[in-house]
Amino acid sequence: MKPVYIILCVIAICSTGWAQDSTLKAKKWDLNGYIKNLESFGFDKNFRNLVTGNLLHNRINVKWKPVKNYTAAIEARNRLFWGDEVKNSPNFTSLLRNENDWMNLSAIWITKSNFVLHSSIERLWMEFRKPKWNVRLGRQRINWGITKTWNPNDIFNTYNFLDFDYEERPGSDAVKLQYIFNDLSNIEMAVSASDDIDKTIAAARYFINRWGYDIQLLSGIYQKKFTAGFGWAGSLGNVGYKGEGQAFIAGKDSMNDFNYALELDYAFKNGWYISGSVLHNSRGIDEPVNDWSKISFRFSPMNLMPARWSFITTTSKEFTPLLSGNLTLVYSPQVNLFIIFPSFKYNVAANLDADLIWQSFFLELQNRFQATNHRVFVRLKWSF
Amino acid sequence: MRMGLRFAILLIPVSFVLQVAAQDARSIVKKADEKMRGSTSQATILIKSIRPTWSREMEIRTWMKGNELAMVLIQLPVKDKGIVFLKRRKEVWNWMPALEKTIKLPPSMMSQSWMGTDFTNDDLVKESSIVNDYDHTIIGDTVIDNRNCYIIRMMPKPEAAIVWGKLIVCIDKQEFMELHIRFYDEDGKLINTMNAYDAKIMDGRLIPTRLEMVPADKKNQKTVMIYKSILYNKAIEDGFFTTERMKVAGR
Repeated sequence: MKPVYIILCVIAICSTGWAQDSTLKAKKWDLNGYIKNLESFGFDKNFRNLVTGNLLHNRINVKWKPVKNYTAAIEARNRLFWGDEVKNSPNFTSLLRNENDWMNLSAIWITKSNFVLHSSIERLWMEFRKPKWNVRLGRQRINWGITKTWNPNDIFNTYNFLDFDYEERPGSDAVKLQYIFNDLSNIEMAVSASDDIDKTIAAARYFINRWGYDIQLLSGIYQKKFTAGFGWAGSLGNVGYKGEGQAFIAGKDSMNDFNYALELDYAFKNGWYISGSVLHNSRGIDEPVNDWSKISFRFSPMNLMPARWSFITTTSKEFTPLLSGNLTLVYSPQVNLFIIFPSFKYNVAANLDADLIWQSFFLELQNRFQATNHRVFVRLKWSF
Repeated sequence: MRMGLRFAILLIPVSFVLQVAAQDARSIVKKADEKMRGSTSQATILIKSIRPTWSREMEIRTWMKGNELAMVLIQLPVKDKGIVFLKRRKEVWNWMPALEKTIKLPPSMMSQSWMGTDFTNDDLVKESSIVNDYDHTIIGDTVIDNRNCYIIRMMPKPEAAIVWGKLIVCIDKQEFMELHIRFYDEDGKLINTMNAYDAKIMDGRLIPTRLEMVPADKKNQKTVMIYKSILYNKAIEDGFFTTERMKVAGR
């Protein structure tokens, strides 16, 4: 029996047990999650050839505190896909697995030509915590990123900023040890496992808060390459000022990489918020491409955007406490890639949110700047 | 020279009287502030946002120590459960449990509405001090809910980073409870009115347990803050107010 089945059974038992006896066990157990329905409509550059996709998505998060100092967590997501998107992609199920995973803790329950039911364990960790140190073992998210969108320091589990429906982002199978020097400084060391030893990541991060700045220094081995990085978060007057940089030094037969991101953000009194950042990818593309397929949005810590330079601005506004809007614009010069990404969120009831999201992609192809495709999403999310 | 001297002599008693009055006003505000705040406090607060066509509820836990250290944990609604805000001196962070990410907020975020309520971040974590950042003057008396109150005008000191132009505060003469506050902008326009109700003994002190913030220009809109529980002067170490402890505050 695959381990994923056993874990899913444990979650099911925990969930029902908790529900029956919540008052007694409330302190030891914590259960939450959501059910989402996402309808997607994909169009070609001329708003023709509609491709629809449907996703029913459930996530269950369970935290367990059996005794003092110990915490365990299991988080699972179950996704039911149907529609043209499944039908048109012959390798659809192969795209569902997280590339960072060492153990395969996912299961495909049903695969039909236009219908797939998939479950995966997203987090599965045990933590032991003392005042000065703590250790966490298992599938977890090691989040060393500081800035909003592009995180060169997030070397364990890069995420795709366009994948708005994956709020929790991927984790990795790892062990992480933290030692706390004092209130304002600590060190974290982490090693992630991979089925291929050459893909192992082992790194340490030193963190300190000084002069009103969060400052971090990173160093380690990333898939056989030596890596070192730095990051900070502070302010220039009332403006937030953040940055991250990460270098990857390769052996003789491959090339070095350097990625860095700078970010400024500001909140206005009347509820408007703006942020802007720039990302430099030393090995990104710096000229127009002839083919859309050359622009890959499968990201890695060394490749956070396909282009050498990328700029992003985000403007958001809370129109009312229930309705907020967000407009994200991404532009990569040289390649001439442009993404427009507006979204609206409406809180229908205390635990029910509705979202409308739009993504349009534009690119210079054959000396002509043109639209390539458009996607519209409608989402309902019920949290529990 | 002679004129000048006489003028100076004349001035002495006037300024002396003014100074005594100012001292009084300041000490009244200080007493009220210390009463509501304690040296530390730990509270569970229900926040209701009431609008003409809808309302929402939120429950938070707060830990505060002096003016400089504060932590706020959201317990309800479930979709925001576990989100934490930490203030340490001039810096503010936000912990997003779903992303397991610490986000440092820009200083400009302090004057923003907090989670869609009529309170600002500053109202919640009390970055500014109503004692040290203002000049206080008693301008009269009034009666609120059968309690005799001082009316005190508070003008922000020029060097203080305060979003308000003026505050009018009514403080109960006997119990030193702030029962009514009017917030004016820099042009002297009334922006918000806060009324305090339901005085109850909480952890040995009589405090108003229901605070209503009513914006002046929005009809049928208010935010109500209800103290469900509060503990005063329990020792909280400074190490509690750190980005590391923020990550486990919700557990």
